[in-house]
Amino acid sequence: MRPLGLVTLVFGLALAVPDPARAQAAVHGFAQFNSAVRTTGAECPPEMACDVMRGEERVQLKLELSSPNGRAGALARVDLFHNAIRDDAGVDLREAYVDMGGRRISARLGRQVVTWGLGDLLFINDVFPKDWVAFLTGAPLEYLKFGSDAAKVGAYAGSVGAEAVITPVFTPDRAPGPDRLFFFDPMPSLTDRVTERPGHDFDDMQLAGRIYARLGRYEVASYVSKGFFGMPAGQPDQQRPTRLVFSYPRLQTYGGSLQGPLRAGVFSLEGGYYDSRDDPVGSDPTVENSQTRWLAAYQFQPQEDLTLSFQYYGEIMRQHDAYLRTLPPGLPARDQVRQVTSLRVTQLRRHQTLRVNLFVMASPTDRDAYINPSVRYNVTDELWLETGANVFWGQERHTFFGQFEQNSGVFLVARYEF
Amino acid sequence: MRIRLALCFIGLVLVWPVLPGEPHRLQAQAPTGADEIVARVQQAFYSPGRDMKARVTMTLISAGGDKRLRDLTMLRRNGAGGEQQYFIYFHQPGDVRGMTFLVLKYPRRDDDRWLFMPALNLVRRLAARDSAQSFVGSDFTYEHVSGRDPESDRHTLRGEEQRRGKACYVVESQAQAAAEYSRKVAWIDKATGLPIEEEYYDVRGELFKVFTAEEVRDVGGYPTITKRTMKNVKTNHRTDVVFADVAYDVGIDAEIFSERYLREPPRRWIQ
Repeated sequence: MRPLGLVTLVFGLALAVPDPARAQAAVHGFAQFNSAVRTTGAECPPEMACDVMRGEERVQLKLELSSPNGRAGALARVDLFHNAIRDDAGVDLREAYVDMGGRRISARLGRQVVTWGLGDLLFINDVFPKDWVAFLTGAPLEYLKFGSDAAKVGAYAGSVGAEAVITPVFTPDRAPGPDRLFFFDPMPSLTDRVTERPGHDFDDMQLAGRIYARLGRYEVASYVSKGFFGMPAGQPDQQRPTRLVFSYPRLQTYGGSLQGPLRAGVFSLEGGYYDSRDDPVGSDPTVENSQTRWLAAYQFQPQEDLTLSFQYYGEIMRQHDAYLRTLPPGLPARDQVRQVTSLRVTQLRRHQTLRVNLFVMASPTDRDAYINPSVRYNVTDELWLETGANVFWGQERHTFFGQFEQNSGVFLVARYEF
Repeated sequence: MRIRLALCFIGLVLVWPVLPGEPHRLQAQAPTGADEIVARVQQAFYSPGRDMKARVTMTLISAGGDKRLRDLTMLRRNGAGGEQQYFIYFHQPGDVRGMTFLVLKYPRRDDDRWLFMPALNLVRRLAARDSAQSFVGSDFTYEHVSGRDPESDRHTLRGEEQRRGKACYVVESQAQAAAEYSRKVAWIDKATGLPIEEEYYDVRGELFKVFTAEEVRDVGGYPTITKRTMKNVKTNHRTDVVFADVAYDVGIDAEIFSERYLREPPRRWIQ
């Protein structure tokens, strides 16, 4: 019950502000049913929940407090869920933080979701934790991100802002596991696996910073971070391996972005350098090489309530020669350049209560694709239903989307908000 | 166009030699030309005060009587040179609760708009198409909420009439730039400069929307439409809007209209 302890602490702190009787409090939330079914007819290994990828009931409670003068506040979002596949239940503390601040400086302390950068499902300078399992098993998009236990401090003057996020204990991404998902495993015969997480030293603290400004109608930002790759690297324990040791290699990122109006639409540019600190010369085949990533995007509305957005994304591996030289025989080699294009079409109908969405992402270099059509209807102000599909396709089994081909399926979400 | 704008400004200055912040003195004036009347509507309807705060409740009512509620706090601040800034915080319904919306509005140019989605902690800049876009799914467009450049239409004074018990100017506006309508006829209260009723005609010349001001109150010296309705007479869908807790000149800082406050909504203003 650690999460509930944290909630108590947060609200204890919040109520310690003077005159708690006049503080504003609000309780909201939702009850949700969410299921996803694999439609590929894949033959699953015995440990995997096969045709049903997700079947869960979830209640979220959101508690908000704010001080009478509005200078301090607190929020907690707690999910209580029951997973019908494993027939277990649990508590998920999505967020719990205290806000305080004045005109120039503010701080948010506690578990919080941080999202930076301009990409739509393509991340460059957003190094905060992501739940790929939720994404791949048909959960609502908000579950792709989850909270970091962090302190965010911001300083602001006019249209310029600077923010630093300090995360004392590293939280990795939630990576696909063999209990629910198919994915590419380069060494399937090695089943003895251990994972080593970064420690709790000062040196293992994650830091991320962003400075941004609005210059006329344009927005510029620069980003920097020091931490770890969100996905682990597997290292065989010896020449003739008996076990795989997973760890999170060190990563520093530097990047920038620019966004502004262009004719009738909005363009976005973002770039970043991923500095792989544990493999600076690129000769360790188990650790990701350093990379340069970039993104160019454009969105516009050809007619009312219809939005089109295009993205072009790429990443270049820095030391591809060293990567190829040291890649163990038998493992598929990645190209030096990976490119991805995407198109999102969103149409709103019936006084914006019906949303029809199509998202297509395809990589000409990996020859794979992800297609996500969906329809959402707000039946009443309280109840909405969403259904759609996640379709993965690839010519090969080891590429980014191709590895998930057998996870293609349909999903349903029904949510009642209160 | 710049010369026209400059002439328009000079015209405004000549007609109303008053200082900003004392707009109620405008009411003493008696404009006669259509452009002057429309400019006065622009001032009285869309930009009274240096800033404004209101709790806005929109009820979307379908022909069958099905109702949807959009409950929001709206903050407006007038900037320099006719620019305006809007900050909107959504209270209801549940799926948009806590969302914030920032609009920077410029004369004779498309708006810049940003939306913040709290569940994802994500700020998105939106491509804007001003003229005909529905505001949060209602029968009101963005232009109905925040105004339309007067020079986007050609205005003609059609006469004077009693309407809903008020002495009104009747002004017809022909769309010259992209618009939801091809022609609009407005009954403008001579006393307040506020539209009492408006009729919108489509390209075929058929009436499709009717605006009515149901209640006008004096708020701190500014006549304010506190209840209004927009009805689509072709679909029989309508939107009733109530402005409550309206306050002008409350000292909303320019800095509120920024990414920082999209992500950390200014609790002082939205409670």
